[in-house]
Amino acid sequence: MTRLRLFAAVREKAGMDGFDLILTEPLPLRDFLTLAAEKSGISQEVIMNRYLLYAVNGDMRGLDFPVGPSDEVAVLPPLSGGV
Amino acid sequence: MARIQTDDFDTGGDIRRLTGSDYRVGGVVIFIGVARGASRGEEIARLEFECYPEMAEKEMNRLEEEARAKFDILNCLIVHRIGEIMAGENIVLIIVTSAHRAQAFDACEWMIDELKRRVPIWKKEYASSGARWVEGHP
Repeated sequence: MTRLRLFAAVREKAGMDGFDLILTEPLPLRDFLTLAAEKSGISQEVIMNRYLLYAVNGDMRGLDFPVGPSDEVAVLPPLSGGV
Repeated sequence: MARIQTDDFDTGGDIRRLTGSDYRVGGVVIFIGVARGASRGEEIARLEFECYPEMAEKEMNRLEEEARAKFDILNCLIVHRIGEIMAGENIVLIIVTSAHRAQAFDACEWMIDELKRRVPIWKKEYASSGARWVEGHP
């Protein structure tokens, strides 16, 4: 099972903090997000826009990075920790 | 070892734990980020911090390791609070120990800049006009 996790503004816009998908084969992150939007009903614009960063298993990745059947994908809005 | 916690930190206790009995320590540089009570001309009563816990802790530990490799320092520590934080309360603590001050100041500044750029933590401001997620770093 591949887990999509959503945080902060993205979580609020999506109305959920995550969504699980069953992948039969690895997909580029871009295609995974498109599929996740389609299956979850989340607007694609909410999880795919130029302001967002992405992590796979806790490491920042680009949209071409392959996502596997047991990976965790996180959608990260612009960061604002610190002060 | 970096920490994420909801409770306020004990700066004196963390300094003592970090320096221990290391006789090489000649200076301790501390940065404490505090919740401002105003933003964009409005009063901010409280903030809420959310994080991606597994990744944030991993990235903060990486930052500590990189700082030890990049600067001539003895030790360093990052502690970040999450959850509800009232105006005036502490948010983040960075402590750096070194034999001489210059490297500790440089390392401390580098660590807070990198934390803001790389660590998945988000801040929501509660102003009189409503609540908003802060995007980017003023």
